[in-house]
Amino acid sequence: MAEQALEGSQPVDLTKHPSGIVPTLQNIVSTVNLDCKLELKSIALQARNAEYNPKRFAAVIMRIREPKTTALIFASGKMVCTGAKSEQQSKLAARKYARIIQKLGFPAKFKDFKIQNIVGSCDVKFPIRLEGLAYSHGAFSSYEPELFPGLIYRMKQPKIVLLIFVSGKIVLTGAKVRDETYTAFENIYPVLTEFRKNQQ
Amino acid sequence: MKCPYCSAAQGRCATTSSGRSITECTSCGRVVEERQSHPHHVFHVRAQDNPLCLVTSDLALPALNQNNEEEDPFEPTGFITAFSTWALEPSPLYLQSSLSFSGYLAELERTLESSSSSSSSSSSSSLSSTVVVDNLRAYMQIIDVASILGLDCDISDHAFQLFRDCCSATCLRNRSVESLATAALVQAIREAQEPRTLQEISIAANVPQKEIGKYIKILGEALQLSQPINSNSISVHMPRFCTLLQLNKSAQELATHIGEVVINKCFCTRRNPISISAAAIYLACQLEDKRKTQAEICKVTGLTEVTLRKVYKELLENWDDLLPSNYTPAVPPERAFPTTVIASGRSSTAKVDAVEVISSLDSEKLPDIKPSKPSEVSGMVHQSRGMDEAEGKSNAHASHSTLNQQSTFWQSQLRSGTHNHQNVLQGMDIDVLQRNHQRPEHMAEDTNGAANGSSLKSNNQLCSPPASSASSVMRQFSAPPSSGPSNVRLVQSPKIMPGYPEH
Repeated sequence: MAEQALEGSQPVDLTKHPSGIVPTLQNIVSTVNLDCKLELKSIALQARNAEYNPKRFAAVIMRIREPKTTALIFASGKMVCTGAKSEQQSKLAARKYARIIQKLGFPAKFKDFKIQNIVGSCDVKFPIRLEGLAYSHGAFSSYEPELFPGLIYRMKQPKIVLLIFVSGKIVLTGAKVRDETYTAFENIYPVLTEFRKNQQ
Repeated sequence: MKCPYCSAAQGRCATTSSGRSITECTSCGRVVEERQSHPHHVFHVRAQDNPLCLVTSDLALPALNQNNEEEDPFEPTGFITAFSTWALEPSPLYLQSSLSFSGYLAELERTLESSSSSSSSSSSSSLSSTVVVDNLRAYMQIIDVASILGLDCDISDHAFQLFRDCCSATCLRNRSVESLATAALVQAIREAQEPRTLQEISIAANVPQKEIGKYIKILGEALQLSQPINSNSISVHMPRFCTLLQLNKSAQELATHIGEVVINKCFCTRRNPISISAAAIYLACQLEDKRKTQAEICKVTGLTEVTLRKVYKELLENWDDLLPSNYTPAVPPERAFPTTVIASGRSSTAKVDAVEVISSLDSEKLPDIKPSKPSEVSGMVHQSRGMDEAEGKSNAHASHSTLNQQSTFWQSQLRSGTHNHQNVLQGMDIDVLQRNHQRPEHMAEDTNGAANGSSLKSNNQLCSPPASSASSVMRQFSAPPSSGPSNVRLVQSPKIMPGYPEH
C-alpha cells in the first residue's frame, strides 16, 4: 500500500529504477554505542516505556511512539534500534533513546552509529515459477516448499538475500545502504520476468 | 577397487590382529575392504549334482574319518545318501566361501585401538582418526536411514560420496555429522528421482526437518549443487501415494492433473506439494467413486486431517476448473462433494438442518437468514405466521410428519412453480391441519381443488420440504408482483392420515 502511494505521488525515476518499481523500505536495524556502563535495573524502574526480564533476555526493551521504534539497551552501553522506516528516522530514534538514558543520570554519548540492515519489499504484480527459477539459478537459490513457501535467493553482488514468493511479492533484506536494495531488485527483475507464470 | 579415502586403485591383502582378512590401500594404508571366509565341505552339493546310482554296504571308510563320531545311520542299509556320499572320497572336498564388505568398521576398530594405545599421539593423526570416525558415523546413518526408507544401495553410496566431498570442501567443526549425512541422502534421493518427503526422512533419521533444510543449504553451498528439476514436484510424489493407496490408473491420472492445474493456476495458497497432492487425491477419489477416508490419505502422506480438509476446501472453490475438459466423472460432482461443508470424519452422524437449499431459484438477490439455534430453524419451518409460539411447539411433530410424507408431491409442484417464475407456498398451515384431523374427507377434496385451481398463485413465503442432504442453507424469498391475492396458502394433505382408514 505504501509503495503504491509512493509511486502515485512521485513519478519513478526510470534511469535509477528501469523496472518502474521502487522497493518500499519496511524496517531499518541500526546500532550505536552509548560509551558508558548502564544499570539496567534502574533504567527499567525509572523509565515507563521499558521492560526488563533478565531471565528471559539480558537487555532492557524500550519503545517510543515517534518514530515508532523499539530499542534493545545492553548493560555494556551498546544499543540496537529497530523498526524505523528510513535511515533518518532510525538515527533520530537512536538519539531519542540516548537522550532518555542521559536523563536517567547516565553519561551517555552517541558513538559509532551504523545502519546494520535494511529490509525492503515490493510486488512485481505477476506470479512466478519458483521451481524453474530454483533449477536454473541453483547456485544462488534454495527452495524447500515443504519447509517454507518462498524461494530464498542469495545474491552475490550486492550481497542481498531475497525472498521470492509465487504471488510475485518480494522481500529484500541484508542491505547496509538503500541503493543496495534498489540495485538488487533491478538485478533480479529480469530473472523474475523470465520465470513469469503464464496463467491459462 | 578404488580407495574411498585417497582414490588410489592399488590394494594389498593383509590380516588384522583379530585374524580377519582385509584389503589395505597401498598409498594411504587404510582398510578398504574386509573379508570373512567360511570353509565347508560340499558333499551335499555333489550328491545333488551327480546322483550316484550305486547300492553298496561294504565300502570301507577312509582311515582319516575313523574317529569316535557316530556311524552314518543310512550306511548299513546300502543306500547312498546326501549324508554318506562323502565316504566315497578318500579325502572330502572343501569349499571356502568369502563375504566381502566395506572396510569402515575395520578401519574404525584399528583407529580406536591405535588412539587408545598411544594417547600422546600427534595432532595430525588424531585429526585423521576424527575424520574416519565422522565418516563411519555418516556411513552408518546413511545406511540406517536408507534401509528404513527402502532405498537402493546406489543412492546410499552416492549420498556417502556427497558427504565425503562436503567434508573435504568445507570445515565441518561443530556441525552435526548425522544431519549432514541425512542432507546428503536427501540430495541423492532427489538426484535419483526417488520421491521421499522431508517428513519421512526426518522421522527415519531422527533429525528435525528444519535441521535437514539447513544442512541441505550447507551441502549445496559447499559443492555448488543445484536442486534437480522436478525433484520435489507433485508429479514425482503422486504415483507413490496412489500406489500406496491402491488407486487405479484413471484416479491417479485425474489426481495428477488436478495437482498440476492447482500449481499452474495458483488456485491454492499453499505451496507444499505434499498437501496439494493429498487434497488432489481426495478429490479424485470422490469423483472416481474410489472412496478413501481422510485418515487413510493422511496416513500415507503424513499430513494432518486438518491440513487436508483446509486444502481440499480451497480446491473445491475452483473444482470445475480443475477437471480435464474431456473428463466425465464416475460420480456427478454435485453428489461427489456437496459443496457446503466437508464432514470432519470425527463424528459418526451427519448433521441435518431443517431447510434444503433450492438451487434453481435466483438466490443472489435474496438476503440470507442464519438462525442461531436449531430450535429457531424448526420454528421457522413449522410455525405459521399468525400462530403463537406455544401452539407451534405443540403441533411441531404433526406438521413435520405430514411434510415428510409429501416429499414427491412437493418436488413436482416446485418444478412447475419455478418454471413459471412463481414462488408457490407448499407448507402446511398448522390450524388447518388441526381442523383436518377431525375432517379428513373434506381436507382431501380441498387440497385437490387448491392444487388444480390455484397452484400458481403467488405468495410471500416459500417453505421447502425437510432436508435430505447433510447440510443446507436458509433463504427468505420476496414475492414477485402478481394479480392474485397475496395471502393465499396452498394446503396439502397426506395420502393416508395417521389413525384413519384408507378410503
